[in-house]
Amino acid sequence: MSGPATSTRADAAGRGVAAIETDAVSVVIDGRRIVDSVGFAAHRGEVHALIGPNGAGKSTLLAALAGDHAVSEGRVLVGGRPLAEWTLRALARERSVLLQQGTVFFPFTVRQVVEMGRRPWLRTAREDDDEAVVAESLRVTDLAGFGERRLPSLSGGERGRAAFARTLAQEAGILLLDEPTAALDLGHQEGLLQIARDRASAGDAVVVVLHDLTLAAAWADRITLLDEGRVSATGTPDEVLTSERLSAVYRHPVEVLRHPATGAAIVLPVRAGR
Amino acid sequence: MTDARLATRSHTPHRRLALYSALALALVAAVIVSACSGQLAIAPADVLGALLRAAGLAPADPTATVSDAALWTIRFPRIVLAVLIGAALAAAGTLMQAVFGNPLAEPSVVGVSSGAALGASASIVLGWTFWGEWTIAAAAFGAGLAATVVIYLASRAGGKTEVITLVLTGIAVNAFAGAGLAFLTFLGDTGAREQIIFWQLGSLNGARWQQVGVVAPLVVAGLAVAFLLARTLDLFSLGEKAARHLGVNVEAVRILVIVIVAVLVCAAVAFAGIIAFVGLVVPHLMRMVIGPAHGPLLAASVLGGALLLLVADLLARSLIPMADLPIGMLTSLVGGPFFFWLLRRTRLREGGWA
Repeated sequence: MSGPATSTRADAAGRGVAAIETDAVSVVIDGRRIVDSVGFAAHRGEVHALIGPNGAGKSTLLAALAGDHAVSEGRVLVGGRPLAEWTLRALARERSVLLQQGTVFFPFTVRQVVEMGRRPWLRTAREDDDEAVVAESLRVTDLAGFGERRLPSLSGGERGRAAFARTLAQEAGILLLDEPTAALDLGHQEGLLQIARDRASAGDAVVVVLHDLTLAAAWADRITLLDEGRVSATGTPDEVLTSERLSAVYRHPVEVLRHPATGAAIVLPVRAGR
Repeated sequence: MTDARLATRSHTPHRRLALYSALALALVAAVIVSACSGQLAIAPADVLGALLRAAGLAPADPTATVSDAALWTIRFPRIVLAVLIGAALAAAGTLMQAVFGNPLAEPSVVGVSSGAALGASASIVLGWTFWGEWTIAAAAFGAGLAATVVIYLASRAGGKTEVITLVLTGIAVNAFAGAGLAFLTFLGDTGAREQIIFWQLGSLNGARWQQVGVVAPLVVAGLAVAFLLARTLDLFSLGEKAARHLGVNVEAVRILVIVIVAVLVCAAVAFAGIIAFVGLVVPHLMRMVIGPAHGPLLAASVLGGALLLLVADLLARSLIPMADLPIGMLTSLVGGPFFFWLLRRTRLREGGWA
C-alpha cells in the first residue's frame, strides 16, 4: 500500500503544490501552546497520517487546518491561498472534514445525513450527481441497506460510517479525518482506510489522525509524528516509525517489527512477560 | 433501542402528503365549525352565503344582516387571527429548536413570549402611541428580540444548548419579565392592569381587522424567510462546525433566525398575549409523523399550529356558556404535562441532559 510506488505517483502528480499546508502555525489556548510552530503539508495523491500521544496537538492541528480554530501565529494555506481568503462555500467544495464528535441532534435518516454532504453543490451543475453520489457513498461505507434507518437506531460504529459517508458525498479534493476509525471494528477500519487510499489514488489529499500506528504504517504514504505540539518527525512510515523515536515520544518502550510477507511495520508496545 | 422498531420506518413523501391533506381538511372543518358556533348559532350555508355576498358573488340578503355582521365584525377576524398566531407560534418553536439543536426550545418556555408581553404592556402603561396601531407590536418586538438574544447568549456553550441550561435560563428570563410585568401592574391604572392580566393569560377575545392588518404582514414575512432557511436548518443538526464545513455561514443564519423568531412571537403576543406551548407541542408531534427535515416540518407545523389554536379558541369560547376563557390557560393546561413528558423522555433517552 505504501512505499516507493505511491511516492513516485505523487511526484508525477506534481509534488510541491501542497493541497493544504501550514507555515509555522501555532495555536495558543489559555496561554498553552497546543500547537507550536508546526510546518505541515499534505499533497494530492497521498494519505498523510497525523500521529502522536494524547495531548500532542493532533486534533488541534486538524481543527486549524479545517478553519475551526483560529491560529495564533502562522498561516494555513489551501491550494496555496490563505484560509481567510476562501469563502465558506468555495472552501466546502475544496475540503471536507470528519470530526470526532458526530452527534446529530434530530433523528434524521442515514440518507438524509449523507445528502447534507451535497449541500456545497446546491444550485450547481453537479447537483445532478446528488443521487448517484449519495448512493455510491452509502455503498462504499457498507451502508447500502441503511439509507432509511434513523440515526438513533444505529450503533456507534454505524453512525461513524454514516458521518464518513457524508464526508465522501461532499466530493471535496481534500479530506480531513479526525480519528475516523475510533468506533469501528477491524473490518470496517480497513474498509475506511481502503476508501481513503482509493480517494488518494484518484488524486485527493487525505489527512487522517490515527492512534493505531500499525494502521498508519499500513495505509499512509506519509506520517507526521507530533509531540507536545511540535513536529517530532515527518516522512514515510519507514522513516518515522522507528523504535527509538516512538519510545521517546510515547514515553513507553516500543518495538517495530516487520510483517513477514509485506514488510510493513508492525508497532507494538514492549510488554513485560506475564 | 426501544425506538429501533419505529425508526426503521421511512417517512416517504406519501406520508407527508397524507399529513398535509389531513391537517388542511381539519383546518377547513375547524374554520367552518368556528364560524358557525357562538352565542348566535349560524348555519354553515349562511357562513358560505356571507362569504359569497362579501365577494359580490351572491345577491344581498336582508334577512342575513345580523348574521353577516356577527361573522364579519366578530368571528372572521378572530378566526383569521387564531390561524395566523397559531402558525406563527408553531413556526417560531420549530425555528428555535433547529437553532438551539434542542427539541425543548419554545418561545414561552424560554421566556421570549413573556419578554414580548413585557414590551407590549410597557407600551400600554406608559401610553406609547408613536406608531399608532403598530406601537404595541413594535414594543413587543423590541423586548422579544432582547429576550431571545439574552437567552441565546446565556444558554449556549460549545455550539450546543444543554436542556438544563436552556430551562434554567428560561426560568431566569421569565422571572425577570414577570417582575417587570408586576411593576407595570403596580404602576398602571385599573384599565392598564386589566389589560396586562389579559396579556398574561392570553386571549383572542375582541380580535379586530386592524389587528389582523398588523399581524398578517409580520407573520407572512416571517414565514417566508423561515421557509427559505429551512434546508439550511437541517445542517445545523450536524453541529455548528460541521455546518460551517459544508459552507453554511452559521453566525449569519443564526442571527437571522433569532430576528424571525422575535418577529413571529411579537406578532402573536402583540394582540393575543402569552399563548404557551404551541411551539413545543406542534413541531414535536409533526416530527414524530414525518421526521425532522425542516422544510416539510415547517409546513406541517404551520398547518398544525393554525389548527391547534383555532380548536383551542373554539373551546375557550364554548366550553362554558356565555364565558370567554383565556386561551393561554387552555394551551398551558395541555402543554404543561406534555412538556413534562417530553423532558422525562429526552432525559431517559439521552441518558442525561443532552
